[in-house]
Amino acid sequence: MSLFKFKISDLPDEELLQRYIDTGQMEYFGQLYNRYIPLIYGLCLKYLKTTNDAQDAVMEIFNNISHKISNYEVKNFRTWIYSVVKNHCLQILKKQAKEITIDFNTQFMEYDTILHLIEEGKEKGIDRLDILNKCLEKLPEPQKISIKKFFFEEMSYLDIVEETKYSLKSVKSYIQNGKRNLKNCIETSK
Amino acid sequence: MNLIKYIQGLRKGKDAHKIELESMKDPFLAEALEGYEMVDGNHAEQIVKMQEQISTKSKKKRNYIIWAAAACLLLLIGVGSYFWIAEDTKKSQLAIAMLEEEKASYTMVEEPEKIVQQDVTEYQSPTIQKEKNEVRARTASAPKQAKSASTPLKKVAESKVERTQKAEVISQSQIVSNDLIIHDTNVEVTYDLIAIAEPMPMEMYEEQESTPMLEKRHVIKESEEKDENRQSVEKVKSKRKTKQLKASDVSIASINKKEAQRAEPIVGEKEFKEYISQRMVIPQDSCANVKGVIVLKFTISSNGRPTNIEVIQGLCKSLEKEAIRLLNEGPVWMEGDIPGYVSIKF
Repeated sequence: MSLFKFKISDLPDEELLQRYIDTGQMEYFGQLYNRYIPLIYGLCLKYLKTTNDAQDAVMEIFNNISHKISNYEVKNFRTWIYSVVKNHCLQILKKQAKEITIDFNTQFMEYDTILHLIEEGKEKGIDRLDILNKCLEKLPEPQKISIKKFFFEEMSYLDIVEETKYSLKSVKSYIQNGKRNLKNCIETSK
Repeated sequence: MNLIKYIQGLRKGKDAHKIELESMKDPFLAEALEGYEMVDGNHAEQIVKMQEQISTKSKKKRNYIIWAAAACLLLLIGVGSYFWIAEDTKKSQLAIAMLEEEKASYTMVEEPEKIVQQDVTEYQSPTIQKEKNEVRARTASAPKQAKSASTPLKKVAESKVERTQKAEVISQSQIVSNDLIIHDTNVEVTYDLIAIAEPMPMEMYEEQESTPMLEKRHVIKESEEKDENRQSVEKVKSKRKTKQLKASDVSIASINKKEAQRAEPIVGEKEFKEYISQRMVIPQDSCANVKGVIVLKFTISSNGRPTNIEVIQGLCKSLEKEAIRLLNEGPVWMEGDIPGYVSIKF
């Protein structure tokens, strides 16, 4: 049994899902869902604001989709469950007639290019990417430090906080603003 | 999982950085982290609790189904085997009872049969008088012998009847009925038997149009003879109770008896009829609207299958075919030497 369990936890998402659809055995789906509970719970917390509501939502979503999932064509479970959970939470908020304050047109995608550039620069050395280097130098000091420490020295926010004595909030905003500035800089200099 | 550690607050080092970097590309992760930061609480503990809840839920359900299935299966096997054994013993008891009954009737018949053999030959020769005397002598002389005398009479009747297949059913059953009555006989009953036997040939005669005139006369004579026999017995015994039975009564009696003794399907008469009515397929041809009864005769093979099926009373070609098919594909019959008869109503 323990051997079997070990195997099950090693399976990739799609394999687990396929097995669940094929056999109807809850164990596979439970395993898959458990994998995502940290993400799902966090997402629910973000929208529902209380631990009780979020926990209820996590269990409710599990019950809902465990029956329905075979009706959907799920190519990527991660992105699928993300939209399912988000919609579920938004519907709850709608029912509660609460104002939705969060702008969920996320800005993550716009950072893709800059992230890519930075990763590239990390691999090849910053010096060889002149544009990135120039723009980095143009950044205000706190942003430059934060960006450098985060992307090139692979430090976490908390590490940077300890080293620089900036607050956590400022570190985060430095990095975010620095990224935006970098992007603008690179686009104009092209 | 690193994410849980991160949620717990261990946000230093490369692992933490990886998660933070990852969250920049992955809105799901970013929003989740946002949620954990917005709301206070021991999130890691809650996550573990929920995960346990989910896994017990998904495991319990599965175990429950397996156990339920196992329990159902066990129950089915138990109940099934109980009924199977019960049914089996019932059937074998029934079969034994039938066998014993048959044996009993055979031993009863066996002795008289020898006499009958003689009687028949004598009877078939023109000297009817001889036989008449014999019978009369036997019936009149000793009441005990009357028992056996009645049987030869029947047998004679039968031998006549056998010339015509149609009437065979009735004659057969009649003999059987005789046997039955003989079982619990006293002399009075024997007398009745003769009376019963007597209308037989008449009936035969009525049914059998193709019987040659000569035979007709035979039959009539025979019945007259028996009439005499009866009357003589009547005189000897001087039983006022025993009135002559009307032919119609007899035929009814014989039909009733017929049911009791003919070859029987192992599943029982009722089931068999049900089977016939359920499986009957009326052929869609010129016979489709023909109504009537088809009578089949057959012998029962050692494994209980009907063989040598012949149509005794036909109706329409394709209907006959259907009747034979039904019999062929139908249930197993009680083994025995008795030829089976089946009438199927269309």
